[in-house]
Amino acid sequence: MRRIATRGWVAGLVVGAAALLPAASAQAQDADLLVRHWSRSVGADGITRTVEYSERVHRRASTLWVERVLPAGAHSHETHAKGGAAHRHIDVSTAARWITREANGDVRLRLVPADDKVLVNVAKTDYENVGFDGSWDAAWHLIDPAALKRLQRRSQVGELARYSAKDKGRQIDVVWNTRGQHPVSVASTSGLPQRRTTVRTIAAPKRAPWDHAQTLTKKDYSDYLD
Amino acid sequence: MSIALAALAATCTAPAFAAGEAKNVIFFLGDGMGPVTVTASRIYKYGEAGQLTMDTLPRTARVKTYSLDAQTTDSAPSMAAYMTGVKSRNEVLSMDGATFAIAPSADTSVTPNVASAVNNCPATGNGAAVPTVLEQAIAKGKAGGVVTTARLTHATPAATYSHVCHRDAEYEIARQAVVGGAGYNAKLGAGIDVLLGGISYYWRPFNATITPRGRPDGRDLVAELQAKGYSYANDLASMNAAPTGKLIGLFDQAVTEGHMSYELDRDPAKEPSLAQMTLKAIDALAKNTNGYFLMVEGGRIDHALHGTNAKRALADTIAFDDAIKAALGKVDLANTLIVITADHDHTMAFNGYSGLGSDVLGKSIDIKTKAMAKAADGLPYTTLVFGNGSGPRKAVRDNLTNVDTSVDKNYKQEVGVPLSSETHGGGDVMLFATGAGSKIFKGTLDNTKVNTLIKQAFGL
Repeated sequence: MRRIATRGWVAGLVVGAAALLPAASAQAQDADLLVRHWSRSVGADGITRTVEYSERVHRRASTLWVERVLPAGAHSHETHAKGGAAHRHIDVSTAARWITREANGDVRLRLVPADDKVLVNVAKTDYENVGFDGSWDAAWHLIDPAALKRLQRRSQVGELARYSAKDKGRQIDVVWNTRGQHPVSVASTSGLPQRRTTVRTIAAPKRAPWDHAQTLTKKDYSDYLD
Repeated sequence: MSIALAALAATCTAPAFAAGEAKNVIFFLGDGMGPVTVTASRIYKYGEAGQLTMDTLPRTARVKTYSLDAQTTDSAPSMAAYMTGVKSRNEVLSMDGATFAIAPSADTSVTPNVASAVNNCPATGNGAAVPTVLEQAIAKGKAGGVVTTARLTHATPAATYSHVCHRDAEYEIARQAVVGGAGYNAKLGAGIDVLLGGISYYWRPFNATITPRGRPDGRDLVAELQAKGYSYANDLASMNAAPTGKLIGLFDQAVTEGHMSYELDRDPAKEPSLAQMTLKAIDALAKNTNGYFLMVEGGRIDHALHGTNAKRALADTIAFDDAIKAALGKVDLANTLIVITADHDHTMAFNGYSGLGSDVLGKSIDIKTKAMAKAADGLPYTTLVFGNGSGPRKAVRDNLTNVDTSVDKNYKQEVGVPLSSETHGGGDVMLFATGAGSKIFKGTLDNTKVNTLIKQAFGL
């Protein structure tokens, strides 16, 4: 899943931490969020690169929907159909991700390609191929909550708790919504690169996107392997 | 002088082999197994100076793989070129050059709909079927077999036994293999003797709960084949127990992946290896005193490469090579031709100047300093990379310093151009041959020429 911080960055920070997280039972928080990702880096070649994109996240008890905000008209059905006639493909970067947690605890990932009328089941062995690490907690909370345990809790005002850590010139700051169980902002810097993610609440969709998705014709990710 | 020239001319015109000297032919196809994959797999398993079994074969050639309409082919026209000797358009299976690909559509007569279950290829007016080596061998009274780690209806195996204008029409492809049933490909005579590969739902009737991707036409093709004398296997034990007669094996151990398991994920107690399936097929086919044609595909090499997952690709290439080794240990090369090739390349490449003995799945190691080589952005990079591919977009390359790119079988190598998924490559592929009639395989060959040579050696 597109997690806010990379594994190496957060996991690499070892800062004394208490068990700061509320109990897992607090997880059942519905949320509708707009997540904005921004990052900037400069390479040894002297080039500064800035990347920015947003995702809408709709979260219910055992269901998560993550959808890239795409420019209007960038993914017409006609364009996809034309491309498909010559060579079948699925754009995993722009496809909406429907992640569910089954009754037995298994995590299931399905994709809905932008403006393509199919629902694509992804097998576990293909998770990495579509950029999903298989972690329900990390996807549901936007970051792996366990990573917070490695940060220091600096303050709490209302439902917002502030965490931070410094290590060898690296700094990470997290504002965590304890009621919503998701970050409000995550910023990390090590000179360059810098990463920043901000999360804000948006209106719930009138119709859950997965209601429509489950009516689509089913395919498997393997159908796109030639 | 004139006598010498006459002698030379006589030498040049003498046949280099006896046509039809091969009673049996085994055609091994490593799907997507381009030259870099072969080299990387050799290093992965045997080291730079080591040898794959395929490396030991005495006859080699290189093969041009372009299709009728594309520099870079997909598996349908490239395998069809080997099987028929005719170039066709991408997506088309064993049809002539007048055929255009028309994708199948979903069957909406059942709920949930079944994708690609309606074959939209017109019965007339869109080209014609071209005979395959398998059909021609059967016509000569030989036995036929198809073995793959992909699903049995996937493009490569399908090109041996079916004719259809689009490779995605897999429900149509399956019924063409069922002797005596509606839609049967009559050129298969009394039927293909051995069919071993993945995924049963293309062969079983639709059931909204049990087989939601089953056949909307309600046919149970497995039962139909059993009624015609076939044994049915669905795991290693039942395959081993099957008598050496007609056999269909459909393995669903990795059904969520749509194929058989990658070698690194396979449970050896439950699911047969490609080598085990190959040996089982040879045992059955060798009963035919007229000989046999067997196609063996390492089908998942290609899939791992599409995922820029080098480790699974190399492991599946080794499993493919092990199947070749097993076959060589069983057949008589005096009457059996072995041909090994690939249908197309991929975009995997060696990167940097790693020192000898470096882990081919690891980071590029500077040959002088023995430290990780660094890219222009100051970050290390792996030896194997891909020209293009999919994955999450990253503003900054991952710092791989502390990432074990070799141990993690899920590690995806970095890519150059971001695409929806990694593509095939248009470069030539390698061919290896040995056994009866193998001397004619040499030089740079068009993929259609490979078909000509197989048929010459086979006496078809």
